[in-house]
This record gives sequence, structure tokens and C-alpha cells, in this order.
Amino acid sequence: MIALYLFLAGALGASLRFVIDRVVERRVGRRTTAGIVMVNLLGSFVLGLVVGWVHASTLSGASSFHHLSTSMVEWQLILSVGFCGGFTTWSTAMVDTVRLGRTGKPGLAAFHLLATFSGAVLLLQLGYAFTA
Amino acid sequence: MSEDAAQLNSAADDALAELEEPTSAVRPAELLPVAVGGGIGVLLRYWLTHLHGSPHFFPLWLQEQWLLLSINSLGAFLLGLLLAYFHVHPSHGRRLFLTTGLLGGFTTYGTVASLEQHAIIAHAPSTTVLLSIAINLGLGVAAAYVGERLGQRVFRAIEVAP
Repeated sequence: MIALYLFLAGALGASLRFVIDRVVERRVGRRTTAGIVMVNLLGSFVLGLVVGWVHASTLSGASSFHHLSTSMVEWQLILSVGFCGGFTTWSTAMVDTVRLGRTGKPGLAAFHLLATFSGAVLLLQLGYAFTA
Repeated sequence: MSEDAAQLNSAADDALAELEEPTSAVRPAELLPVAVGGGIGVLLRYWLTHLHGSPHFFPLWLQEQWLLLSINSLGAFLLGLLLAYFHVHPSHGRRLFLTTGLLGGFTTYGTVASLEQHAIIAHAPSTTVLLSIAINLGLGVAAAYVGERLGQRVFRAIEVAP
């Protein structure tokens, strides 16, 4: 059953990523890496919320995992591995970096790579701080 | 630079400038391959990371890191390869299914950030954290680069061959 839920959550995440990427592209008027950057930053923030929730629920007096209801653990898995995993993407971020570098903008490529990742860790921490 | 290399480079530039297709509004028919591919990609990643063999040679967090590094690097390599393939053999539906859907769902950005954030708040040595970030990003970029270059060579060669 968990496989079906993960499939659905992943399908939803991937579809949402696709739609956001297209909408941003149409706003900008040309192909841009901005859509995927936004998706990865937003997805990291949401994942931070979920991880903080997991952290809070496993530390809240419960001596072991057995005290947690199965459905809650399942929900956390569906939201983190399923939704956030399907929503955010590593492969496109890497190919985009290579392509920026090859269009003669190695500085921009390095900035794209490092700023996105730093931003993702910071936003994840922000989300985590909300719920942990 | 040989003529061949020059041709390859100009093909690479074409691939960059040309954006697979003009930007159009999302059509409902495009969502199906993306959704199905994304769902399958997520399941593949879940099975690889959660149902691996019982012998634990590494501590759990380290295992997770290595698995994720392998999954993400493999995904970046395959995406470079596939984009080069679809550049030569355009197929919109199959491209959406395999790249945006399958590889998009298979690889994940958030979890990498999550593991590094976890290391930071657990007060892991900063050199360890920075090294881990450098390995993840470095290998990812290298894999995407090698995949795309290899794809451009292989699929163009196949196309040119009689």
C-alpha cells in the first residue's frame, strides 16, 4: 500500500515541478534555469518542515518508534521521500549547471550551483526550525 | 582543433541555444508521462534506499549518503545521455516520461540538502560537511558533463553511420 501512495505522491510532485517550470519559462519568455531553482528551493523548505515534524514526533517523550502511529510515519515518508523527492530534482540542476558553463558563463554556472545548494540548506533549516 | 571536434562543439552550442521546443502552455496530455515517470522514479529510489540488503557495513547515515550520491550521480549521467539522444531523435512524449518524469523523480535535491543540514546541526566537523557537499556537487556536475558529451558522440556517430 505504501508503494501506491509513494507512486501517487511522486507523480504529483513531478507534475507540479513540470507545471512550475513551464509557468516560469513562459513568464521569462525563454528557456531558463530559474524554474528548477525555485522548485528545488521550495521543495527543500517543505522537506525541512517534514523533517522537523519527524524530529519533533520521535523526540516527544516517546521512548521508541512503536509509540508512533503507523499512519503518521507513513505520512512522513509519503511527504518526504514521495512528494519532496519527486518534486525536487538533482539531475536537471546538474545538467543546467553544465550548460551554463558551456555557454561561456563558468562564473554564472558556479554561482548557480553553489547559491542554489546553500539556499536549499538554509531554507531547509528554516522549515525545520518551524516544526522541530 | 580538428574539424570533427569543431563540429561536435558547434553541435553542443546548438543543443544549448536550442531549447528542446518553443515554450508552450502545459497541455493535459503532457502531464501523464511526467506523472507516471515521476511515480516510477520515486519508487525506484525508495526501493534502492529502503530495501537494500541487511548487512550494514556502514553506519546508517553514511549508507544513506552513499546510496543517494550513487542515485543522484547516475541520474545526472543518464539525463545528460538522454538529452543528447533526444536531440538527435526528438520524441516529446518519451522525453517527458524518461527525463522530466523518471529521472526527475529518481533523483532528489531536497534529501541531499537535508543530510547536510542534519550533519550541520549535529555539529559534524565543518571540513567533513564541506567535503561531502563538494563530492556531491562535483560528482553531479561531472556525471552530467560526461553523460552529455558521451551522448553527443555516440548518438551523432550512429546518425552519421550508414
